[in-house]
Amino acid sequence: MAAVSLLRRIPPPPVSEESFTSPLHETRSTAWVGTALGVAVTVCFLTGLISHFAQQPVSWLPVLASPSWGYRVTQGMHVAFGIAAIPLTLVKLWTVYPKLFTWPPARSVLHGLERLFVGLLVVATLFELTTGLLNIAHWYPWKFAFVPTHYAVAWLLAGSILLHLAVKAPDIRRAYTRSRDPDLASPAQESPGLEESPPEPVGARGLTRRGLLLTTTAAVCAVTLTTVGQSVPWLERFAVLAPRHPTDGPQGLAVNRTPQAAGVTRIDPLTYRLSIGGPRPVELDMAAFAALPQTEVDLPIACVEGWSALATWRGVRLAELLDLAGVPADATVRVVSMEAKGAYRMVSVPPEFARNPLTLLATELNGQTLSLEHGYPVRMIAPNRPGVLQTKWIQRVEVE
Amino acid sequence: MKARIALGVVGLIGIGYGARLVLQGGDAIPLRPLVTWLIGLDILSDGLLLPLAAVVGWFLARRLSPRVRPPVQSGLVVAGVLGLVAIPVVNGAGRDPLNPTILPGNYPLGLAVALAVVAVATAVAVLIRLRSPAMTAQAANDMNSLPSTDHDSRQL
Repeated sequence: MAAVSLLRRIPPPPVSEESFTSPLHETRSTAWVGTALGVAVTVCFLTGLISHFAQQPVSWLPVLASPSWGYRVTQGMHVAFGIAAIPLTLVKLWTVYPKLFTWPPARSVLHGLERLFVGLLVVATLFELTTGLLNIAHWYPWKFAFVPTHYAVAWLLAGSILLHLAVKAPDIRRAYTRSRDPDLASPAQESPGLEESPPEPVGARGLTRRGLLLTTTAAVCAVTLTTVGQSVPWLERFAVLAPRHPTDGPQGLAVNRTPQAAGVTRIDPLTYRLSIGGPRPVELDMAAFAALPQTEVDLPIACVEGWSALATWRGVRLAELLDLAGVPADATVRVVSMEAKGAYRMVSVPPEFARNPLTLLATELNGQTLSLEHGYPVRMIAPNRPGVLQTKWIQRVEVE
Repeated sequence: MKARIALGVVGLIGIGYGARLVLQGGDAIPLRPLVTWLIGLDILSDGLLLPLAAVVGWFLARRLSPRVRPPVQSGLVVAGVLGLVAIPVVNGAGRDPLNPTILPGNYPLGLAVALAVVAVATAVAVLIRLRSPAMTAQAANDMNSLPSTDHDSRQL
């Protein structure tokens, strides 16, 4: 408390809360933009959790193989709502910017704590949006590992939002009650009894509150329209700022991990053998694999970076290969790539995916033999799974 | 009140869990780079971006008539946000000579086209407002109710 009373005696700085006279720094703008931002961040958090548990399953959460386009939609939303949250965050910060200059910085210990947690909320939001935006452009100018850090800070963000809502509940309620006022666009005409109305008539002179909301909407539409085409095919032509054009690439499909990066540069189709472990282990050369019943499926590749594209795959059902080797129907199997190293060299495939009739070990993509970039000679394609788990350059399948 | 307290407690638990993940992150989440990024981003927004917006807003308030100002403000906000979101793709640091499917577009051109669309929309909005007699009357009314031009210039 002594520190707080000491703070009171320091003269205020030249820029103070009162230096900002625009009507846009006001609770109602803040509450509206804040609500939109809250929705966007909630979508990001929930879809992020889906992606997290798809990659690191836990025993108490079931994994689902349907709908086959599920991950395509949730991860596309994760990235799209994250991008949409950028203008929302900036406008939100703008509306509350004067509060940064509140003097004294802390009126009480509780007020100081509240401001510290608001600070956490702000930095966590900026961190998640920035690292996400850079990550989808394959730009990693940091010394931490993106996935665990983005995940940990997401919890800091989610927690501090709930705390913020709890603290600000009365302000939010008041902002929404007052917004029924028909003259909300011109605060000058508000009845004098209402608290917080700005003292001078400024509303109609620059952007009004309604103008700010329209502008924010326009900004959200602009960043969405120029990027979301990497997840929504019919908007691809507008995606001038999207880091990926998913159908641009060898055999009409973009690539994330190149054979060079994976250390898989030469494969001899004559000596290649696919082995399936189990009670009756099987070894197949390319001719034997081609002699098995072939299935064709249309499944999307859906990347953690948000881009996705539907493709036509042809190969042998994983379930039929496992039956051939006598693998029990409830077994979780492990798909092992020829990759020299990498976090996804070995991938666990629970029975929900392994036994799904859509899950193939594919040898053809869009009517052609798989190119090396797409996992020649054999790759996995399964429904509703992140792209990183669709193992390429498969060497063997074994029971886990 | 009970609901608020419950919400706050759940929030604190979330923060605690996030802090635990950070602290247990080991080599994957080194603290110094993380804290540098967190504080650095705040300095960029609170210390650079928002003051820049305030200065531009102050400048517009001094130089533009009330009729023209709102669409110009809107146009600049949309253009600025587009420019920010375009930084990683225009910068192109993520390009990989072995993988041409990463950042395949001509992003400087794409950004230029997007900004041109915003500029045209802004210009159209300005023209509409300049030609609208109703706006003229309202703007004139605003001018009359103005306490002093000096005061106006301080509105950020």
